[in-house]
Amino acid sequence: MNRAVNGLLSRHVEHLLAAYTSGQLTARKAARVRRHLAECAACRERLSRYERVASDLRLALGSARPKAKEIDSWWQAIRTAPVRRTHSGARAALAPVLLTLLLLVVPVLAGGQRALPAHAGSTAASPALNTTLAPPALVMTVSAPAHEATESLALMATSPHEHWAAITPAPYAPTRDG
Amino acid sequence: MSDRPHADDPIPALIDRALAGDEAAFEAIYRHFVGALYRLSYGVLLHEQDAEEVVQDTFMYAFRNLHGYDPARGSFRTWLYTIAMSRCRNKRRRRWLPTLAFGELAERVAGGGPRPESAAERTGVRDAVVAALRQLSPKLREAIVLRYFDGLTYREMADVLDCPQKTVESRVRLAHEALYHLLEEQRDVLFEGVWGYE
Repeated sequence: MNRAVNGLLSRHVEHLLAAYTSGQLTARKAARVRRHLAECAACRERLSRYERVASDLRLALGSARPKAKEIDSWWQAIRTAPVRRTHSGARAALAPVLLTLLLLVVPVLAGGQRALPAHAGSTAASPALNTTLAPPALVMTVSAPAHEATESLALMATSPHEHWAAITPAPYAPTRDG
Repeated sequence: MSDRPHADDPIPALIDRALAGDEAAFEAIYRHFVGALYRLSYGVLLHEQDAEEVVQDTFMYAFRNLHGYDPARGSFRTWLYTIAMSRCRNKRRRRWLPTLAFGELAERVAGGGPRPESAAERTGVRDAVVAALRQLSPKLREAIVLRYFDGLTYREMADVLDCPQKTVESRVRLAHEALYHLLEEQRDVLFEGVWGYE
């Protein structure tokens, strides 16, 4: 046991120094690092390097901050940005098209299969085929995205409160612990 | 993996209000995070205008997809930083020769030493650190900036970067080592400059 502990103490702790300087080690590991640092000049030198770089980085990144005027103008840009159609919106717009295609293709295929033997003897399958290819279905699919586009333009013209209500989808109740 | 919100953390309540359509709550969330998001974006991109655009894009996306945020999967700030990091990467991909500023590129192509104004620019710590960060690979830069811009834990960093925690620790260690040498070189240049003037 003692030999194992001594082995750990003599092992360099360079790989733990980044977490040590940021206080992210467990109490046990932090104690091990402290013990090692007390007896290892090389790791102390490493630690001072870490702290020097960390100090420079904190200073440099901390000084990069937007001005109050910029913060205000960015906010105006965000709150007045037009509502763009998202991927899910595009998918929603495509849904009627796909549904119509499905309604067209499935009966055609099914009708084709039924029609093949019928075609040899009679024309019983052709009324069903004519119904599925009727133009009204196509008109409906074209009109759906156009209607949505009109709605988006209307949303852009609403008041700020309505704008936010519009871009915020259905009320959501997050399940949060505590 | 999820970090529980503190009792005095105003963000969960603000999110609830925002989801109910309260614009003031959106603005409060924006003002709470805008500084940190700018530091992150600027640290990763080292370009002010790109950082501004990333900040705005991040908030627009986050607000429009707020219903998709799941507190059980992580903190709101981690979610926000993940969005910002994704946009930083997109910006970087779209830029020609992303890790080099045009001035540095011209110097390297010409094979000459630093311009007189470059030496003067490096007198400040920020300029020195920015110059050193520019020379890091994008992955090391992301890791070291995430580590220091807002005190994220390694676990949170792993979530934002979408890689194992050990990988994050390794990148931070390598970035530390590289930055130390780069900053020391710059200190040497600076001291030589100071002695040269005397």
